[in-house]
Amino acid sequence: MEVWLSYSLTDLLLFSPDTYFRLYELNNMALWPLQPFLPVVAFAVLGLSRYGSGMSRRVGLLLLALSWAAVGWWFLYQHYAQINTAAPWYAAAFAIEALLIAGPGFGGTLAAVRPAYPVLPGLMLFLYALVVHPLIGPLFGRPWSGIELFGAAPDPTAMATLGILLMMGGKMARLLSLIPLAWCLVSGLTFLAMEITYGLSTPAVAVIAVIANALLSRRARTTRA
Amino acid sequence: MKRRDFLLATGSSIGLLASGILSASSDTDLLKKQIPSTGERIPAIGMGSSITFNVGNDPRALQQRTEVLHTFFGMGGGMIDSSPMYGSSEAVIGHGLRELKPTPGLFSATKVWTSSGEDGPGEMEDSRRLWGVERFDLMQVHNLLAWEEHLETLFAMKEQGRVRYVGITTSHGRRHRDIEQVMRTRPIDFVQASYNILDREVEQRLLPLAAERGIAFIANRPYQRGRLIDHAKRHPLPDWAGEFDCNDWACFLLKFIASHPAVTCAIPATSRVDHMQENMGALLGRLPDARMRKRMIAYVEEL
Repeated sequence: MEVWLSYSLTDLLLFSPDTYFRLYELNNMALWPLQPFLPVVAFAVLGLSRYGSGMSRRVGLLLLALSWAAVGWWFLYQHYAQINTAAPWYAAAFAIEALLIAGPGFGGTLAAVRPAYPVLPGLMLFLYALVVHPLIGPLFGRPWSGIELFGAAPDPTAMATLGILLMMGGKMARLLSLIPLAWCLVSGLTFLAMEITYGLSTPAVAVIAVIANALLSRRARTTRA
Repeated sequence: MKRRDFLLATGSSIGLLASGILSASSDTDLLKKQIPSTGERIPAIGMGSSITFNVGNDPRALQQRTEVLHTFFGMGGGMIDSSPMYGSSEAVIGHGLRELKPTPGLFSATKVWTSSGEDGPGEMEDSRRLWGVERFDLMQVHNLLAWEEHLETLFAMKEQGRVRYVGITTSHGRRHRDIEQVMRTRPIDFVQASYNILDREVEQRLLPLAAERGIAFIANRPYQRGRLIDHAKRHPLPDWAGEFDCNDWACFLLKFIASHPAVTCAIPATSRVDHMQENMGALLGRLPDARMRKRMIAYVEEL
């Protein structure tokens, strides 16, 4: 630990922005032609987990878990790990999140309870992750072939998950938000080290999710009282 | 390598001929410096690989980095420096070396980077396999990590002929006192630290000590990871840079480093062929003298 503390954030960045962004292109090439189906999966997760019955909610969460597992395996482990020795740990965190969402403990408990929070705040985060975030890279000059999509890239997957969990509400949803929040922080630090400011939008979304969760949680407690 | 060979190796030498650098003299040796412990002479400009060669197995990037290496060797390059810390850099270097084989003149330098002395030999063997070399010319202890245990192993390896030189490294001005202690008490051949026209702390103690103890000095971060040269390139190169045969900023900044008497080799990193050509251009022509070095510092500090 003492060794790592002697490095600054920039020292720890061992790849160039070009190389990092190229990973998204390579990942998309490897996943093609699945990309058109990924938004369908995302909206299925949204519809089932928010509006479905208990069993449908479970199916929605299983699809979400699958998305986390896919991003962990394909992007983080197969691609990112080649240039970042910390990436296998990120992949492990994504696998843990997938297991927690799919498992009977966290995910099962979450699916058993009817979503209590209003749709709008979570839906806005979800739509940002699915529609706006993928456009940011190309708008700043990155190639369209490296577009970041839910289910293929970590940032939109984490942010969309925060949106869905925000719509579902409750203690389990908050606990399941921890790993997505942590990823948003890691992503923000990576962009900070690369001195690319638009990448700070991901941690900004995480901050909004935390604040929204706190406000909605407080409102729910007040309503119950 | 003579100037004529240099020209043949690089074809038209692309921008260099046009720049006029090569027209200054004939049959001039490329700038080489002596390793004090043996007297072996190596080119004063080498190549670092942090960040720039960490590209994974992307075929397009592998091909491009191989072209960078081709240019490096074609223009008389020798030392390539890497580390297990730099992600896939060692594997990418190994890929390039295999593609370009044979690579005469290669001076292979990497580091041992593990907090466990026991894990050192295994890590060094992994590095050797990745590079595809029979043995490393230089093995260094990265950032003084577990340096006492690793140095013991490295001196034994040197004794057995499994490595030619032993060194230690640091960067960003970290732990200079510890480095100094190692330089004073251990028979190391090389020391590596950050040195460039703006970061000159090593001039106070480490460089004089290297000269005194007969230790070769490798200057890392010659461009402050690109920040320095990017900034400099936004300003005009002074006319008087021609007095030491430079007509681009890479040459200017590298010749400042190479002209220090105690510096053996500077190791700029690049992922671009045109930048490699600029870097290697610093191996040609005259070096600035002490008076000129002061003028160079004053100019860059004003930018």
